[in-house]
Amino acid sequence: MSIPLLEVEDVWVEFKRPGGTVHAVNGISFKLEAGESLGIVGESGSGKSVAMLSLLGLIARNGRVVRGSAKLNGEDLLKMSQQELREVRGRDVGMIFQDPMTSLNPIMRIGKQITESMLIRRLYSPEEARARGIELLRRVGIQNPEQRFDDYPYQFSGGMRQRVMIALALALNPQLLVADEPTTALDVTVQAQVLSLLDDLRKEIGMAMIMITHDLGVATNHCKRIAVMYAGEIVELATVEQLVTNTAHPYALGLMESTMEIGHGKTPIQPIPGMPPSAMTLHTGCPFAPRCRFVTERCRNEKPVLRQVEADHTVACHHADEVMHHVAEQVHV
Amino acid sequence: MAVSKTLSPTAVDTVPQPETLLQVFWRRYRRNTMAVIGLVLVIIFILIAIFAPWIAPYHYNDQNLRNTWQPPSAEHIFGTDDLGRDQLSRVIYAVRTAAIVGLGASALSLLIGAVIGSISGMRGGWTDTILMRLVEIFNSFPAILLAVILATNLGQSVTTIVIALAITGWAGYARLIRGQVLALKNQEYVHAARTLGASEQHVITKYVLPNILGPIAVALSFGIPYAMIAEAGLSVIGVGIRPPEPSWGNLIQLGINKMRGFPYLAIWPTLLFSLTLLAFTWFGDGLQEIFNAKGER
Amino acid sequence: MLLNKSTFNAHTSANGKEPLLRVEHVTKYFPRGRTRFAAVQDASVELMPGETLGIVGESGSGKSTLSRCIVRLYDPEEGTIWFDGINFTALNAKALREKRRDIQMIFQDPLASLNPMMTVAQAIEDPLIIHKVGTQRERQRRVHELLELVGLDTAAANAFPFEFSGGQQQRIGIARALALNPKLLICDEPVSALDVSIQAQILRLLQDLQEQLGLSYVFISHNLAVIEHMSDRIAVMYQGKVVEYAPAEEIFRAPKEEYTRTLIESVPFIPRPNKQRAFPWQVPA
Repeated sequence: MSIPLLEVEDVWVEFKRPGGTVHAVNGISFKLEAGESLGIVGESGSGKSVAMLSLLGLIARNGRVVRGSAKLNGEDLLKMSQQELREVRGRDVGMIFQDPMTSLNPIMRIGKQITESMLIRRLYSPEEARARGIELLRRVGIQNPEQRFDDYPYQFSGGMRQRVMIALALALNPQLLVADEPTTALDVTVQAQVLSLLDDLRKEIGMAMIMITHDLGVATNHCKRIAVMYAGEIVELATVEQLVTNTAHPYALGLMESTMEIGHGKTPIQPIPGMPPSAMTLHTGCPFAPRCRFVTERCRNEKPVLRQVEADHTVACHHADEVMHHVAEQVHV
Repeated sequence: MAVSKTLSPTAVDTVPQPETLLQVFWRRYRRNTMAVIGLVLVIIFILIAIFAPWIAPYHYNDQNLRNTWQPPSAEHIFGTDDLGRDQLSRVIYAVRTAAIVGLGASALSLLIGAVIGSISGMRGGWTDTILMRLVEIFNSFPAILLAVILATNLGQSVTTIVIALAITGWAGYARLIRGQVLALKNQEYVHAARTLGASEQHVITKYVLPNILGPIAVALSFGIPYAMIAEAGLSVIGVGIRPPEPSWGNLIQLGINKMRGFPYLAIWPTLLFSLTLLAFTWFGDGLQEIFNAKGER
Repeated sequence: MLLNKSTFNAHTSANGKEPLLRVEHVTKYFPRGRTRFAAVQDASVELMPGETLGIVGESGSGKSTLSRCIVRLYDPEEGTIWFDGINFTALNAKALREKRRDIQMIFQDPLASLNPMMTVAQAIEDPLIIHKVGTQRERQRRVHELLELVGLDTAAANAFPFEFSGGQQQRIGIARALALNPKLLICDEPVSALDVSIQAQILRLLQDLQEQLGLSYVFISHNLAVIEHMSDRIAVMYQGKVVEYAPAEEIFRAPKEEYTRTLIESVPFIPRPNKQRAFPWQVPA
């Protein structure tokens, strides 16, 4: 058994603001094997984006990782210098972001942007780089890649720009792709195409992927495992099947119930009451307690830690068994 | 209420502690030290202007021909001039005049500019085109020339100088306000106001103007020193506030002639005039900062 | 001034079977370069009192433009809009302002739709002031009533919009829109900018309000699942045209247009082991 591609252990991230400290990430741990796909699901304020961005050295200057390790192929990213991280980004880890409008350099031809990372590292000659670039564009589904290679970003539509971003991310054959809300800004039909493209590419190259999203539907259809984050912590970590059939955390259950899907008709929606907590507060008990329907006094005083409820299924909840029981009953109803 | 009980799955429990607008502004303003100093000086300036007759030891035209050309002394802290008038008192009264001229002229300019600018911005079309040509005419006319013409024809009392300066100055405010109105016209909350059924006038007064208070306040705080300088300029040519009523301008003008032999007449008004201008500038800078922090704490 | 269903039923059109809203062949042009293009082309839809018309489409479909035409933020170049039996498009400025009491709107960006210089109470009270409803004390009581109705603590009344979260801001917008007891509420992507769990709360609030107050909605969204939860009839728009228009069950059971089918198929579905996702129009291989 080789070492995992990415091993994140007990990472905490803080930001200093004039009003106080923002505790964005409060101790997350997970492993990712080569070729595996993990979806990190959460809402705004859950810390899902900050978690991955901080590992790659991409957070604002007032933020820092205060604890933990993140080993990529055995080397701790958090101990690397900015220079070393720059190497990692692009070569080992490719990234795509939410807004294709602002993620591409508007005044540089896209071909140049794709080949830039290849040429800086002197891995290929300019002709080889260009050929590879065109091939990449073809792979991501851009028609007439030879002509489009010399176009500017404004000449592409939103969905096409996202494809260009994917081509950019794949330029150096990275082992891991980090996609931060890659399709949120896209129309739903385009979203389906881009996600399907990602699936095909991953199958072809055998690349691992971490997809950060708020959309349970997207995550469960394109990732093998899901980590649900709330208030900076991973509250449930499971395979898609386990999450859907054996939901163990009340927040995950609430998310599943309030996710609107086709086929329910005009029926009343079941929301999770209350609001997510401010990231400025540190919780003594479970952060979800104020909104939880399974809450007891113990939850308010004692913070639950991640424990195993099945093979490969961990959850941070004192009442996970109750939740799973509840879910099992629903199925039989 | 029965209604809210059935809606409780969706009720929200946490709500922010409300702060008044003033508290929010003060918190932001405080961060800039120079601005706070400016504010203090501006307040002192205004207090002196209001209470001038009670603060000044003498009246500004109290002549004592046996006491002319006195350097600063215990009795006359700034000395006396060629007619034996106490300079300190004259400076204090000049502050009052400056306040009236500065605040009055810029307020009047602003009023005219605001009406024209907001109508022009909201209406658009031909109204906008015509009004903007009017603005351009007033802008391209050399201001000093216009002020001189007005001053010599209307007289040189405080009132007429204020009117003259207002007429030369309104065009700048009109442009500013029109620009701001154009920028805000397409904000979603203006659309929302329309869907509520608000009349054009209600939209302007309740939704547009309060949101351009920021740039207006800043423009005003820079416009006041500008008006004071304009008056000083007029005085240097001899068509400013007519003596014996003192203003920064005519005090400095009197003092400049005798600079070499008797510097005291010119120095005090100049120094204090400069300090006043600085104070308003710092104040304006501070205002600019608080209005730039949009939507954040 | 208390809100309840009977107050509203008294408001509904004299002939209960008549549509509350009828959009007939509406076309709206916008300039593009030297010529113009039709953001909405020949759109015709209807809404019965107490129901919801869902308008779904992707970007560029014209759904937002159509909603703004209905509320007359834009004036369509062609076509007529009938509201409550009156030719709404033909009303002059003064009559329009009057009739606006009955059609209100909530917006996609809740913060942007609130006047930054008005407190919550002032914002909600403003429609009452505009239409000269009630005394000051009555208006303030009404503001409190509305805050409770949308689930906000009345302590919020003197705060400014920027101090609230997105979901709370949208509740403020809803309270403001309901101040005048409108018959029709146009909801232009009201939850697209909100977090998933908050989306659910706001939509549930809108569902409850429709039930409690007998409101009619025109609900615009790009999210099909949301549209299904909210709508009785659905209009699918594509590039300015209404390509399909049918009762909700029909749209999802037997969509006629290729585009509609593609839209439905594109929506991600949480895979559940016992439920296979089947589209009735797909022939099994």
